[in-house]
Amino acid sequence: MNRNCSILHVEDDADDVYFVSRALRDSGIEFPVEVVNDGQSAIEFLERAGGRIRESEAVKPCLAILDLNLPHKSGLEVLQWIREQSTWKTMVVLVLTSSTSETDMHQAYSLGANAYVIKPSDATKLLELGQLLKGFWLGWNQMPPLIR
Amino acid sequence: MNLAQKTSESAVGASAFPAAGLQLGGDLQGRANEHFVCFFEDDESLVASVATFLGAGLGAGEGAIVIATPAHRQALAERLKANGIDVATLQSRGQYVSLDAAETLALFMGGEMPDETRFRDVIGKCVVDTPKGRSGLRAFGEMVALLVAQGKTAAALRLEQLWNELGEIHSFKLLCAYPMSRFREAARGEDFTRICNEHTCAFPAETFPAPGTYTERLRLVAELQQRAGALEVEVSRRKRAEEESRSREAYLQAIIDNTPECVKVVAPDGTLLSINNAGLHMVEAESVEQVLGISVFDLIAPECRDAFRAMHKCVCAGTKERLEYEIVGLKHTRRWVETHAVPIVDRHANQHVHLAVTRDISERQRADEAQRQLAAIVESSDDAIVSKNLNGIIMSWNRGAERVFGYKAEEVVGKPVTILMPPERMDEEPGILARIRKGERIEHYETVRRRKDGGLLNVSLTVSPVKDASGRVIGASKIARDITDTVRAKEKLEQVVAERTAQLRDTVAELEAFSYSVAHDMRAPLRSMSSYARFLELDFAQSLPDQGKEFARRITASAQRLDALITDVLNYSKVSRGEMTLEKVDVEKLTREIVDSYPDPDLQQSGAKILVQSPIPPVLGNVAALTQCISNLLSNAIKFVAPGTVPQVRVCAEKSADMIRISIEDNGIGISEEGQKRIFRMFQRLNPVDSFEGTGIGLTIVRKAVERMGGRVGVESTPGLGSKFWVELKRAV
Repeated sequence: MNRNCSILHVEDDADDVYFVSRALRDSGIEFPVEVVNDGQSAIEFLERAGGRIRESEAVKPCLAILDLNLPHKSGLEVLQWIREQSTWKTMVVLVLTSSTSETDMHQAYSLGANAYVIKPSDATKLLELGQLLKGFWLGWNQMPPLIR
Repeated sequence: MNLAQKTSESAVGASAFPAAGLQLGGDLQGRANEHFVCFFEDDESLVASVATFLGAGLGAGEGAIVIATPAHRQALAERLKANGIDVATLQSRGQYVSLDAAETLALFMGGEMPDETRFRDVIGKCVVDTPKGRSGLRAFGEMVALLVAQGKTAAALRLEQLWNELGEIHSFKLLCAYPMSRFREAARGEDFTRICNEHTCAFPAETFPAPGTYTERLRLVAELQQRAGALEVEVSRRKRAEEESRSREAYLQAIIDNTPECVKVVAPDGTLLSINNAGLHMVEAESVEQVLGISVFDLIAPECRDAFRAMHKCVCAGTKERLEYEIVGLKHTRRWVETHAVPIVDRHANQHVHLAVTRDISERQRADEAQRQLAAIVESSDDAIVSKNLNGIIMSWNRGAERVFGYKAEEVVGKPVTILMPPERMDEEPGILARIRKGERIEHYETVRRRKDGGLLNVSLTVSPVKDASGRVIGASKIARDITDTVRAKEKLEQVVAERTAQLRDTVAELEAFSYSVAHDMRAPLRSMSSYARFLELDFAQSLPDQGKEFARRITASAQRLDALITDVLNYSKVSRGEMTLEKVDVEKLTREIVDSYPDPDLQQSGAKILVQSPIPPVLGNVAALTQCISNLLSNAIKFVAPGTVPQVRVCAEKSADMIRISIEDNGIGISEEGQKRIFRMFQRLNPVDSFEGTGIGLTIVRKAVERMGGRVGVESTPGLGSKFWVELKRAV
């Protein structure tokens, strides 16, 4: 049984933000989705979220959808930071990027990403991804417990 | 006739001869027919003897016939007269007949021989007609001597015989006379004997001393035998000596004649006294007659005559001389000669003449000239030409070497060649010398040498062995070309090339990075465009009129095409510059996987049949690149079919040497020959866009990938009958 949590979407492209949120909504995921547009903001958000444990337990992100190509700090740097935080290091991170580079793939997995998905050129196909997220990651998969 | 007897006796004392014989005459006078022959040295003795002979008869009242030469007839008549015989009276009485020998001979000669009948007529008549005294008739005949003088010895003998035959009929005493001078040669001995044989008695010439008694005569004969014997021995010894002398002379002459150098003798006045065969050849004479006796100055070039004259004068004065001058032969050929002349004593004139040995030096001059030219060539060459002996000591040094190395010849000749080498190169010398000793040649050996001022220079050396006439290596000749400039230029060029290559590489890398990033960056907005168009279709399906739906669909279609293009460009980029590690790839398995996982909906729609034919041996390649190639080729095979045709594709392989050729055959529309040349190039499309979709990059990617894997790609096709694309890669072992 998964607690209530939010999904953190780190993405700088406005269109991609719309497509992902659409896919999540259309697949019936009701968790709130927090969107930040760059790497630095992502870190700051998590820092804040990590502090307010009591109030925002419900809205603490348990899943991050992370683009790699971000301004200020890259997705890989964010990932690295996440995995270094005691609070967040167990968080499920799903890399969603246009990069087909094997180097990026290797890096992402080495730094601890849970999945690596390449953005489809037809965003309507993201609906299927949303359904898979709901079914597996948020359904079958048990989220890691929160560290107090 | 006491007067006659007295006459004959006194006549006896007057001459040495037949007086001698006739004195002995006791045994002779008794006979009626006698045929004497006497030989004489000089005419006076002959006349005296004949006068004695005839006088004796005339004194006794006998008749006398004289058949002699006019001179002898006259002398005889005078002698008889001097002896007290009245020739004139006897002649008028017919008791003394004097006839001319030649005329009388002519009367009975028949051609070459005396005619017997006519002889009898002429001489016989004469013998009969001349009145005889009590004692008989005496005759003196010179006709035989005349015949012998004419060389008709046979006729003379025949005449003697005729006289003898006549003597058998009539009785008379005949005296013939021959001059001894006719019989001087040993060969005439036989004739002499024959003549003597025709006579009853032969009397020796007046030089024979008058012997007295029989024993004295015998002793005389013995002495004569000894003298004759001694003479014979002396003669044969002299003959032998002559032979030897002749043969030695012939040998010496042969030596001179065959001497290959010209040997000549020149008189003080310049006349050519003798010249040998080599000399004749040198002056272009055919025979010795052409030049003997001419002035030697005629054969000397005018400008050299004074020098020759001076030399000739010295030689004839008694000194040895030598001269080089030019001669002009009888056929006007000019040549340079060298002569060594010595004085010798001329055997006739007892003065010095000029004996010379002359040699044609044209060859030597030509060789000298050639050598001078070669030396000039070496000297004038810009390259350093240096020779050294087998100990590495410099023997010669040309002007080029002075210029290249900075040393003057006198500074380096005799020094070891290692003075030209910087320390780190000195160990080259033993190796070079060893190869030279073996007769090897070293060509274009690039190394470094040191100038006099210490500066280093790059040189290209060619070292050749120098051999003596017997082929033994005695040293080396070295040509050193200063290639410092060339070397520096080459280094500079290489540097420039390296820089440019690096620049090019950077540029190419930049371009590739650029194209990659551009293509990559194009993806995001394209994705947006494409996705919104789709959402438009999905979300507003009901409110959108058909036209609107159509527009949205077209946006999507275009976006997809652009996406395919970008994907291909990115693929090409990856295949061009991405890593291409090669490993053993199981192509058969890979192909089957590709076929099985083919996502293209067209595949199912078209009902295409793809046959992968075993065996397909493994190749050396890159999995990702090969996947790309096979996918592209299969995709083409299925795509390019005539409408309504079910695509049939066969994948198979052939082995050749160390390559594997993988073929993908289809039953598509085929490609024209012209098209086959273009299809592997970037963006080449053979068909209009609406007939068959495609970016025009697919085959370019295949070609690039295959080339980077070390292979080749090609096509065989006939329009309308399908195509066979082949990929050739190295066989994996």
